[in-house]
Amino acid sequence: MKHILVLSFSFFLLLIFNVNQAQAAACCGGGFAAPSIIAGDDKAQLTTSFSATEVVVDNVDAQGIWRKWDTHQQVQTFKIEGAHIFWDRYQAGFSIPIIQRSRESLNYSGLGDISTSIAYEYLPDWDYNPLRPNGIGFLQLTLPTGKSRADSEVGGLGSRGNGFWALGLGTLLTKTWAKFDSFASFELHRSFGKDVSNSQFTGKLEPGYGGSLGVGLGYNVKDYRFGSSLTWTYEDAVKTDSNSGIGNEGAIERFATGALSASYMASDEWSGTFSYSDQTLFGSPVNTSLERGLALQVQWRWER
Amino acid sequence: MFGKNLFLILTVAFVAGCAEPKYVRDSNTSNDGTNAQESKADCQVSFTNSGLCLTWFWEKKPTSTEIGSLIFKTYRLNSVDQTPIEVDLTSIPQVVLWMPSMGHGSTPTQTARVDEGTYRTTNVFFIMPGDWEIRFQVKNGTEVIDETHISLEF
Repeated sequence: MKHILVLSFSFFLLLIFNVNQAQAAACCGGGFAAPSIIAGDDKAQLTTSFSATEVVVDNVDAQGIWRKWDTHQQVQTFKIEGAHIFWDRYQAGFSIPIIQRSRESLNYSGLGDISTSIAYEYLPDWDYNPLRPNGIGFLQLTLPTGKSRADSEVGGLGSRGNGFWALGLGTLLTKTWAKFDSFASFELHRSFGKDVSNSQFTGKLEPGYGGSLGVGLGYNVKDYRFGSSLTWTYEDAVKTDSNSGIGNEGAIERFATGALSASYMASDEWSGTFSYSDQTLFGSPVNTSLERGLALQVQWRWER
Repeated sequence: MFGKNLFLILTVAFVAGCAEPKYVRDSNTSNDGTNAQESKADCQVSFTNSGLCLTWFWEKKPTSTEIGSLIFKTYRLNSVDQTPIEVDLTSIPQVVLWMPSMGHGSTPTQTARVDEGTYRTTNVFFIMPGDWEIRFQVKNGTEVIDETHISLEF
């Protein structure tokens, strides 16, 4: 029983990590934040992570043409996430990222988009059914605490998120078979418009819907887990209406993130994960930048 | 058995979903970093409200690592023979580098008047390659009262 729990814990910690990493990319802003969810049998969890990524393809335009320079942006993200069961199968979570974006001698850092979530385990796996997955649904609210691209007066270098109020819902399905485990996640969100006024743009930004679909597979050996995941991410175009009368419809943004990871379950209380992510390998990206990165995560858990 | 099948299916899906990059590399490079070809004074580019026309050229074309500068002229067309007559704008315009597909700008530029209807914009640097607009804005305080733009691939 303990062995199963160990495998499950290590899988879930990695799963959460991968879902977050997969969406922390794209040009300038940083993508939509993923919720922190307890998918195991814990009462609470606290996660800290540090990731360092480099933009390796500076621009993929709206027609899918890739452009690459010799000098790239680097992004470093420190994130604190937590979740707590507050009633039977209900839980609440938060995510607070701090992001630094740099290019050559220019450095900009600050708070990214904070997100909060409420989740409900609508499909429990109490009887260890061989086929039926465990299912958790979630509702997420994202606060525009990070600057949007248009808010940045230095070409997006000062941007630290989507920068919009956003409301999303999604689900996470997980399943374990012996030493193998897998997950599938789906999330849909609606971002809300806002007014921007700075030296480069004065007018209204109108974002739309966005979403992501992720799948992952893992193999567990004793206290270790080796996993891979792939997440496709989509955002509607952000329409800009300048007060001067010049407007633009923008373009949709799309990319896919592949990730490999190794986790170590030190005890029932804490664990660590090291991972590599790459956005240049999969999918058909448009209107984005593509990154590669390394990340380290440590997670503490409290049993029920 | 089920796990192995799932692994196989996902492996096939991963391979089938591989990206196919179509690269354009260093599209902005030029031998001397300049492009002295001035656009024709045929009023193809004009300000929204004043109707004044604009021509421009790179004084020093920026690269991925070097800052550039551009010269632009504002003029009206002579009513008799349509020849260009250079005239000043009501104030020194602001030049904004804007990427319309992604909805963000680039580093701020500086513009100064160098002669009648002739301006120099310095500190021109595109933060990334791609589709860009150079927006020429006449402002009254923070309000844009007149504007025109050109589009370019960089």
